Amino acid sequence: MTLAYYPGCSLHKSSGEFDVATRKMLAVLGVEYKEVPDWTCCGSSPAHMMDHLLAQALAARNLRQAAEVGDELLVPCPSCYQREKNAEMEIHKSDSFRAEVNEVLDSPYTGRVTVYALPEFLTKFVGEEKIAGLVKTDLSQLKVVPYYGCLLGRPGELTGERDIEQPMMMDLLLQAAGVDVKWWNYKTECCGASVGMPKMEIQRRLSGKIIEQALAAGAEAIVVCCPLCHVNLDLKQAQINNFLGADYKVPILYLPQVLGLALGLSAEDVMLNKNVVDPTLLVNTAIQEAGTIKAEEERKAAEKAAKAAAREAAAKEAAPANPAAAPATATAGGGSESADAEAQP
Amino acid sequence: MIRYDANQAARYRDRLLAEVEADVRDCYQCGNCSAGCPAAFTFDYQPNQVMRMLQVGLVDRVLDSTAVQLCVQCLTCTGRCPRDIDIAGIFEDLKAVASAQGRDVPEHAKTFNEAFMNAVARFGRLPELYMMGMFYLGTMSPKMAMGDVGLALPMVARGKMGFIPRRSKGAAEVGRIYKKTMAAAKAREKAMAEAAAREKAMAEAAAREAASAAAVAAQAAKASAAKPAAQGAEPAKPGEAAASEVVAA
Repeated sequence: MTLAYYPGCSLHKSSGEFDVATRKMLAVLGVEYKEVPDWTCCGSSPAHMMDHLLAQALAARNLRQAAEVGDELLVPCPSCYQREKNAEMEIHKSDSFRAEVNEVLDSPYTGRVTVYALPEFLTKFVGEEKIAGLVKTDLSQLKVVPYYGCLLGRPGELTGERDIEQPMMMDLLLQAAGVDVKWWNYKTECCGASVGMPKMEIQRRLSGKIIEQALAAGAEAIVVCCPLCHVNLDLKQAQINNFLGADYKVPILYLPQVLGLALGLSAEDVMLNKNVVDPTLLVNTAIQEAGTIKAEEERKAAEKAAKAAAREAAAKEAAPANPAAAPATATAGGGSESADAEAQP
Repeated sequence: MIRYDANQAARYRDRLLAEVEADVRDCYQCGNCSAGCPAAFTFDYQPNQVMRMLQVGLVDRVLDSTAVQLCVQCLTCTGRCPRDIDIAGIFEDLKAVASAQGRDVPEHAKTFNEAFMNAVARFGRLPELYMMGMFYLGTMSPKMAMGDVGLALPMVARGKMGFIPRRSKGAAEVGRIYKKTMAAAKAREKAMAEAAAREKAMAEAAAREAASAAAVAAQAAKASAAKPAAQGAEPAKPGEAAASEVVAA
């Protein structure tokens, strides 16, 4: 059974880097997928604020299209995920509602497609161990906070998230990829969503607070998994600065961009050039720093090994004269209790 | 003067039970929803106040509030409600009702939703630039549009903007879904409004009948009071008449 992939309108155009990075990352992870044929808009927020049946029918149309590919549907955009999941749950629960929806569709949806968000899919079907095993680039000097936003966790009955206030999926995935993940309390605070258009004040204040808190937590970049959060935090960062009189310049990266980099993809592969607040300097510096630290560690290790070898050689020379001298010189450097304990039988 | 309306409260409560599976009577006013709401600082009524207003039947006021239109649907209130009430679901339904009733809602929310859905219904997939253009045209507010013009440049520079919207293959079906469901929603709302009007008319007729009955009774009481008191006829009557007059008022 092939995995169906629903990009949605944002990934299709304005957040193309999210789409490309996700596809390339899936390829590295060996996940096979096929795009949902002739998919259309999920309805997003406006549909379900206008009419319930309209929202569910628009989402159900995509479930029907996805069923042509398979029974599992990956939806990276959390807004689309929420709409598709919502329709999946209500339609699969009630046959009478399915009939009501099918009434307005051109051809009926009869399948049972299960919808997955990106962090959920990676956790359940790829696993942290596999990701950790495939890491090629050392991102240990990249200090980030994962920002989940509203729709990946809430409500728990829909997403299956156990702790909606402190979700951990993105934290664990990033840690598995070797990224320096900082702890913070703004993981699930709202960025202002699309109300930023009719009422910009909400977006400016909420998004500004998130950036402020990320910096306070010691992060240099925020990792998101939502195109709308990305627009509010990245594209509108200059407007936030204007509104709040701040001077933020915090790169906002997509989860698959960071995971992709760790898995050995290049900056061009994950399209870092599409981000408005330029993350390339930060990413390059982090990779370089990690390289320097690693080289330094290697140098130290080599030095240590050379010294140990020299000592061993010296001990060997001295060995015929005094056989007990060798272990004594070996532990002399460490001088720790554990070394003493080891020496005793 | 605020008048509580038990009939309207009951009507909307039944609708919410059916549509959202949420019962506003469950709310005990702890205020958790308002404390966690990230957008409440722009609301005219706090979320817990909205819940209270629904309990007592001030549905019209709630439908015209900015609170309902500025709700960002982040679901924090639903996630934190100790009574497991889907508060965001209730706000969502209020928006839907306001939209179906064709109310002139505040904060351009209707303009945004309609610009979005009309664009989707026409092209199948959302043409972002086209939608934003239609939205700003709809708001008739050049100031708002100018505020976001600055966004276009970095987006165009990074190839994130599609200028010419294309119709996708499923567009015709999406258009039909939009048309059918909106027509059904409007019809449903009309039927509800008619039912409410009928109910109101019946209640008014009943009140009129009661009033005329009370007037007759009052006249009878006056007449009997005018007669010599020797008969001691029903001294309770004037009191009763006064009570029914109050009810009628």
